[in-house]
Amino acid sequence: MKFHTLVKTMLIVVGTASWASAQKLSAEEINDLSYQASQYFRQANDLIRTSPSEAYKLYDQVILRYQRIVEEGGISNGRLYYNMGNAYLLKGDIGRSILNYRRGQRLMPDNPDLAKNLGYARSQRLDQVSIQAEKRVLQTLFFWHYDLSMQAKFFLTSCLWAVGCVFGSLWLWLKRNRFALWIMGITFLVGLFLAGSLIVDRYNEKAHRQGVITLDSVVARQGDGDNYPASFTEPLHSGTEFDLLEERREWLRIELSSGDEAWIPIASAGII
Amino acid sequence: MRHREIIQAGWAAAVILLIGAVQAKAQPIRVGAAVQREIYVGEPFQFQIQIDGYEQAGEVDLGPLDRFSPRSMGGQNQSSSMTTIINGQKSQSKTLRYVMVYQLTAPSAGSVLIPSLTVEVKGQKYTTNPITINVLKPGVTDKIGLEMGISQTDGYVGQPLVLMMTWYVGANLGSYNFNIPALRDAEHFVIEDMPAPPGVGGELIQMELYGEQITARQNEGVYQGNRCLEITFGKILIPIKPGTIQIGGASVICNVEVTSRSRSRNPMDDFFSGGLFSRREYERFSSSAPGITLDIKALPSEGRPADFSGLVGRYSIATTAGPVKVNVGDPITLTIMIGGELLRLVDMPNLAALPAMADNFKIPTSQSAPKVSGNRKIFTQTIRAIHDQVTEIPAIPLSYFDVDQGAYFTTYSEAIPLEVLATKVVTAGQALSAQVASQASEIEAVRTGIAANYEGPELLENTAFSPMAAMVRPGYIVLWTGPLGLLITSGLVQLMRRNSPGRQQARRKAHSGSQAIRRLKRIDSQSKSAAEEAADIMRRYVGARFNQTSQSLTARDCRVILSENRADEKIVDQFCELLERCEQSRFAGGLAENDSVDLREIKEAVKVLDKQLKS
Repeated sequence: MKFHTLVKTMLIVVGTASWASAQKLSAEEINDLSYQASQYFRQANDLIRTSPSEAYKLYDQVILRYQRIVEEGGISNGRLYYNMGNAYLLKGDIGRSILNYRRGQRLMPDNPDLAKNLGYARSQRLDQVSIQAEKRVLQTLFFWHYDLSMQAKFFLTSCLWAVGCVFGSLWLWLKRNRFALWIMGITFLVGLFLAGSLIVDRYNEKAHRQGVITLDSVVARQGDGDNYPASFTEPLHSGTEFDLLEERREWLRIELSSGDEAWIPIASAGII
Repeated sequence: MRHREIIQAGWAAAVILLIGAVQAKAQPIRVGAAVQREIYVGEPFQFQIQIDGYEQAGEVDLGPLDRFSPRSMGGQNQSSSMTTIINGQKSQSKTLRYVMVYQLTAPSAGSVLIPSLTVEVKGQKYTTNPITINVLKPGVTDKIGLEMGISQTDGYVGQPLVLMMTWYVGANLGSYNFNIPALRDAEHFVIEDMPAPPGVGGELIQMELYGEQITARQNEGVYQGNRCLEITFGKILIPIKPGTIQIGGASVICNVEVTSRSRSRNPMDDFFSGGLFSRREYERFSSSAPGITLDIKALPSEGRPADFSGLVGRYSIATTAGPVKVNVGDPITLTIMIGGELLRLVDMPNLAALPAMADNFKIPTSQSAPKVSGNRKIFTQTIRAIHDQVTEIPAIPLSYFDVDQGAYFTTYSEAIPLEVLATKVVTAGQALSAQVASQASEIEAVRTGIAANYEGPELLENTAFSPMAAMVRPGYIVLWTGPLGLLITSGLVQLMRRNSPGRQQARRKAHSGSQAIRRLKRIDSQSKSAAEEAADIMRRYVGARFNQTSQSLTARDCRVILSENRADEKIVDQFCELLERCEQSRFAGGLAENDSVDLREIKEAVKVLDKQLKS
């Protein structure tokens, strides 16, 4: 009896594993999807002036293909999100374009094209929420924390660690040479800052979630229900970015860059 | 008993094998039709064509069903297979079946015959069985009502006409079904959604119509003297053919709650206040609205403008621009607002085709996506004046067929005055010689807009990054552990070298002088043991300096050792004399006043001797 149970369990496990592997796209399928997306994107760009409605349908096809590459192909690449952001932007969906640019920015924060397009998309949205002075100062002071990708930070930390250790060894051999001691101290200090920045990034990934409003407009409320009064005199519009403070049933508690807090329906926004 | 079981198993196996053998043969193709039981006039019902022996859809001639307004709802492969294993013998059987589903609407009450249909399967033609259905006529009540109206009953091909439906609901409803033939009349109309339901005020609600969610307006109303909900919704009909078009009457069939009663007289049921145990009763009622006749005229061919894009109705165009005081080449944002009835068909006017625009302005091919605001569609385009003679942005035409006048009409936006200043560009040639005039135009980088998409293999690299995963990559393992290993090894080697006897001796020798002076400074010159302590320090100094056992050294030994090591005679004499005096103090129980130990003198002697020995 136990043997049968074991065999059944193994069959289920093997079956599930093979099903899961069958769900993932092959490299060939991913290449095809990428090629089709590029073709559709070109066709849409050609049609945008003469037949916008047809162009929008093609942009939808582009987005669908890139989404499949991300979701079914398991590929996480900032350029894919960037391309999706472009397609959304060209079809006039500011909210989702900003959402995808922000997703791309997590993977390549120092990409100038992405920064340019994100800036343009932000300039097109209706709500221009001011940024708190403290946040602006922090972003200026710790530009290296905001501008460097995790990969770059990890690489630099590793290099600084190696340089620090080498100069530490030199200090031991060169009869306590002061120059070696200074280099070792500086590299370890800078490496420590970068490692701290990495830890903050990892923490933010897990705990500090952000989002973007994707509906054309949504009335932000003072509580998690339609019966609560509105938080602002005007509804929030597509493209408004926020920090996610809490998730409760069908509602999200958000904080805008101005520091104002409100509740919005979960369906009205996308989480980065 | 066992014998009997074997016989039974044998019979069972034989029967199953026989069934398997029969089913393994090619299954004959049979085609049949079926409908659901309860059918009401005007309400859609499902009609199924079942093909046995084949697992793909057949080709059905729906001609005989015209009066039932057939609509395909798709199909489903319902084939099934069964595998049986008895005594190791495996048999497999498969039943093939495909079901095609259609939605029909009964045209009249009473006994109605659904005729047999011809279905082509694998090149062979089969006929379905005819079915006689009993179509019920739902009751009529003053609790529900339906009205249908249209914005105008005469118009032109391409003119958007608003079909408005008003539904009065004065009771609780269960399910409901609309039958609005105009919305399924693809032969005469293109159907479009309205940006907002007709009417004003009230509350916007979502409701289902032909399987789709539409937005309707809900108000309080009165129907046949009773207060009720008034639900208004509409669609835009665009006639595509001229002539007289008869729109059939619309109807709605609803399950209307007639009473709510208790299931039993059990007193316990009353305790639960009827919520869980009460039963609502519904009855089918219908309401209908009469049909409408439309008179649709064709668009005239004479007088059709060259730029006519097919807009029919009432349209307007207006423009704004900013800034209006610019230099040559500066960007000017031109906003074109087109108002009208059906904005989906409105495209951006082709500015490059207007000579007054093309000659005076640089018009990029890219433009931002249009926005719809209220009943206006807004296009935004950046243009740049190409010379300083430009005085205005010209009027932009919009051609459409004016249904009020029955003629083509071209409306214009107002021209916008501009002040364009020449841009002064000082070139290198002009700087060197004023006679050489540069023909080059200044190239200005445009910072707005968006950068192009990425393509190529780098798009498909997985760049997701995890520090923990990176740590186990060979490159990073080497980078983290290699230098660390070097540092640790260096530290260990240095530590081992530091603790070797030779090194310790050398260190002691090197530090002996400074250590002796430090100790001498700590001696209290007034104490009785000062001389004794000073003598000990001096002996220790000589011992550490020349690797001797300090306890056994005398002044005489020190003199010998120091002289052997080429110390200056005078300094050695002074050192040894001081040591002797200190020893005398120790062994003689004290010195006379003039023989007292001068610690400063001893410190100086040690310092000088140490310096001389090191040099």
